[in-house]
Amino acid sequence: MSEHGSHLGLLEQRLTELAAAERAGVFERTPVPAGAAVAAGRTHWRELRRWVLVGLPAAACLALAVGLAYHGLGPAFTPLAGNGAPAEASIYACLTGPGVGVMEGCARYDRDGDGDVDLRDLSEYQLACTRSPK
Amino acid sequence: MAPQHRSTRRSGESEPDDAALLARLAGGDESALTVLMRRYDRLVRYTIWRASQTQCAHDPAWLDSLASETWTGLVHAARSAVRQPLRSIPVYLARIAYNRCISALRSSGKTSEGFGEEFSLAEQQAVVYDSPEGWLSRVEELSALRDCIRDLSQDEQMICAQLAAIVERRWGEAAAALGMPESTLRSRWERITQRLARCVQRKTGVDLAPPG
Repeated sequence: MSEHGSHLGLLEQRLTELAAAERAGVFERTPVPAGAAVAAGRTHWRELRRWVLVGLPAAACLALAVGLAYHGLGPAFTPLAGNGAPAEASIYACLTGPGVGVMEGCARYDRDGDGDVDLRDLSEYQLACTRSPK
Repeated sequence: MAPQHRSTRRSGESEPDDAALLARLAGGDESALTVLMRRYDRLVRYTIWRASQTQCAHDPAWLDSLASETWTGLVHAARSAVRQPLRSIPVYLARIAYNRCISALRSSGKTSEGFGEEFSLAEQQAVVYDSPEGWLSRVEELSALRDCIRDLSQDEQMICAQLAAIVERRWGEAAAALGMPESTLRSRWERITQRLARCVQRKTGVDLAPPG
């Protein structure tokens, strides 16, 4: 056996390495990353939920815009209009919601005659547009 | 060929292979992660330790933190592995552990320490990237040696506790600490090393026996 530390046998080298590794905690267990595996499995659902919540409404809006452009309603397409409707208001400017009443100039969009312009009226309006394209 | 899990050869039991566990992990099965960690956690921790021994000594949370990040990385990789399969989990883990370690060292303003004096930076990269099989074998070797020491008698383990003095050939100091004559310690140490070498060879096939 060598008398010098730099000329240790292979076993003694490994023993020295093992002792150092042991002190450093190499042989302890890493805590399982909390919920990491479950999170991976849920990614599908997260992506699906994101698609449902964001993708579908976005796609619906796009389809609606394309549909309105096709039916020549583009210039009057002001869905965010809220302070009163212009004389030639689009149905979007007239949308107030169930039971809220009908703004001036919007009576023609109260398709079911229940005293408001809501999504039911919009639906009937769109169906009517589809049945009689420009 | 990329290293893969060989537990069936060792234990004789049929355990799911790495690919099957990875697929289960991608599906959110946390038990698959536990099995993979049982197989390769020592490889991950050993890689981090070899790449940053000084940092490991200074910061007790360093090793746990980087190892945990490495496993989290595997979980994310398992998801994308559906599109681009991982060839070998131990190779992937060794690389990720190494890269995260180097990256963490750089971001904390420290340079890579190298794997001790044995390896230059280029060599350690070669070890991790080109021959992780050797790395994995080394970890298994050390684990086997650790088990073999546990099989020694209480007295022999006490002698092993004087390793630091023994490997520096401070026989007198070690003998005094153990309360035995120096000649006795020398002969007992020789028997212990022979016994450990046989034990490791039996478990791993690696011959660590002292020459002669």
